[in-house]
Amino acid sequence: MNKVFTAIYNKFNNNVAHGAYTSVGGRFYLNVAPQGATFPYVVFFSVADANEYDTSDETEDITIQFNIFSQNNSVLEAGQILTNLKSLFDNCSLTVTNWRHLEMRRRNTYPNNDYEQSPPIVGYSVEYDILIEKTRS
Amino acid sequence: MAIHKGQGYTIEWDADKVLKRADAVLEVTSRKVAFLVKRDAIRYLMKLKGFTGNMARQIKVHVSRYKGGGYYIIAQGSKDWHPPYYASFLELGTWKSEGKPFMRTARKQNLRKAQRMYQDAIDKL
Repeated sequence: MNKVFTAIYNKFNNNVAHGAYTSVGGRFYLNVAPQGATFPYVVFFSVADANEYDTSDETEDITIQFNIFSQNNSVLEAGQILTNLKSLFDNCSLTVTNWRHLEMRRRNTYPNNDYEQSPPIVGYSVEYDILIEKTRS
Repeated sequence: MAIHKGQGYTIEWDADKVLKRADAVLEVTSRKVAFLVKRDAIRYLMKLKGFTGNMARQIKVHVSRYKGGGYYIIAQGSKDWHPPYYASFLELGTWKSEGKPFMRTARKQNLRKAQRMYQDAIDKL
């Protein structure tokens, strides 16, 4: 799992000119954002991981979720980050050490807002399925 | 009774009866799968720190109102809503708390098992 996290992190940080990086100022965290983190930012974490074996290969089907949060009086900023994130990660290829990356497919997107804050926090949760495989040792 | 006539052979079979039986078997299997996912969702919840069991009572299996809609599992659905209403906060995470998915994890972990259960049920027809 750590290798997949590293691959996602590297994918993000190796594209510093991409809108996904610039729109959040490079603030991309694993599991949870640090206390008092500046908005906007993206957090990613693992939702589920299912393994499958056959006689020669081992396959892992991992669901990863990206949470986008923006504290702004407009929904446009979060929407733009979402668009950028999709453009970076939709069907992208990841470099996962010792594994072959097969696909990265976006599944669902949910709103994740907190309107009780001032200014309101507008967010999105985006779910991706990542499929990797390696030869069984 | 349906009759199929081919070259030199005739097949008679009661299609309605066979399909009805298949529907009944799939219905039972769907129900089993739904309760399996519900059970595992509760298990994942129980592993969380500070779990009180209040949420577990709000995870329910419902029958779809639509024909062939099967079953669905809801955590704190509109009919079962009781405070504290934090199911979606746990599942998706919020800007101030880490996501601790339990519903989607339970679904994914049981996907293969569910496929096997459906296959077994169909094989026994």
